[in-house]
Amino acid sequence: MDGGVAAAASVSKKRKQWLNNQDLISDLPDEILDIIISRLPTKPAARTAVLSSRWRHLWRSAPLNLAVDRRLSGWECDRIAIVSKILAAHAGPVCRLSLHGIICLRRGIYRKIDRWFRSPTLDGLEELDFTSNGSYYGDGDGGDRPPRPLPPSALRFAIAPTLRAVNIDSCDFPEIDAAPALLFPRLKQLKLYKVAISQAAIHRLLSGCIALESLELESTHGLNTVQIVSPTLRSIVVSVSYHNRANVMLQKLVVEDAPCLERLIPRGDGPNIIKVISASKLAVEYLSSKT
Amino acid sequence: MATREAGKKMIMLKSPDGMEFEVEEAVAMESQTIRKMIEDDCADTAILIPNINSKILSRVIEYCNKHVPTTGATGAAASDTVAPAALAEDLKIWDAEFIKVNRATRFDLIQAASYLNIKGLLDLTSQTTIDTISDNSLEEIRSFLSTKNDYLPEEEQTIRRENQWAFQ
Repeated sequence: MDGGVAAAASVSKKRKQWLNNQDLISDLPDEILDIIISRLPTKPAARTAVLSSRWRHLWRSAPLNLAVDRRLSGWECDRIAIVSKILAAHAGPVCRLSLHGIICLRRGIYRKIDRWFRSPTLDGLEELDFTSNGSYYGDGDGGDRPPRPLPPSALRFAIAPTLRAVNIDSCDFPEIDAAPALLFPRLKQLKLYKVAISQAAIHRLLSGCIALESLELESTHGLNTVQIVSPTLRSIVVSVSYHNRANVMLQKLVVEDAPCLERLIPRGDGPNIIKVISASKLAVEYLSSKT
Repeated sequence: MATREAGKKMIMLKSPDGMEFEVEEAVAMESQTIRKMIEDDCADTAILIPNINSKILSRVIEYCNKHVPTTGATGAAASDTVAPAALAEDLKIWDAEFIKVNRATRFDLIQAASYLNIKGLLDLTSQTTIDTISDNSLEEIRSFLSTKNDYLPEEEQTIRRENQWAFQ
């Protein structure tokens, strides 16, 4: 009896060993390997094509996580060339695009990024992370620094029903035309950090974010007051940087109507005035004393 | 017997090997696939989960049970009122224990998480593989995944040339 149990245990152990030496990952269906590739950094993702013939054609049509940073190449001109090549040739969508350390000010590069944004490969974009390189010209918020425009073509993602998260860092937000109204139907997270944006532009932007749950406005400048009217917003983080007095800084945040708002967190200094008119779910501990 | 708390709707999940699992609707709805079935009224009595055996399905339910947001008397998610950081830390430790399984089980769980569309479980189960591919040389990746290089040398060279930037 014991011998039988021992033999069964041994068979089971051998089976486990055998299983652990099998190429189990290659047995997974394409859609799951696509998910794995889409979560890899750009370079290791592209390298998977060389693993074995099973992986040969997966990368070129998988949804991509395209991160344009120093891991892609130490040279900016190489990074630009690689991304242009990927966007031109890739058969699948790019679901996440992250641009870090791009000096979008230089005219040639600005035009390239504009062209990237217009690429049909980005039609299904879910996440956009755009950080302009401030340090190249000094990192000040100063009015003396050259402009760092976000290419207006970034706004074309308004028609992408897939966009879920946007992070814009250290650039000048373009003006938004009043008509036709912009609509970001699935955008849940919006973060603007050290962004110059006009009062009209931010209100047009926010009124188009009909599903927004999280809004972060940190060291945003160029505007005086932000009014919040949102049936979906759950969290607001707001901060003000007074390092440079040359800019118009955010003075006043007014929550006019936000029935789902649970957290309102002034970080650092926060704006001078925070006024809450209607936000029934807002917990007291998250409410600033500045009312 | 599952105890039914007042007001909590139960759902029966069936695996292809004939096992039945009674779970709270909120737990089952951690799966976006099941959520859609319930919302579309396609799930009145029992839901058959194809391709996922009872061993894997019971682990998936265990995961969902742990991760379903618990609701307090006010209906607000407890995670928002009871020290959220401590709760998140507790979940992280629990996840790390949960994922201590052999490779075969892990890949079964990846498939189940993908079919049932449970984002957290998919993130958890695929992370080891993602780290392996991200942080190692091709030879090491092949060795970890037991993947055999079946290319002829010239074929491999051709593929490398197509995206030379990825190998620099």
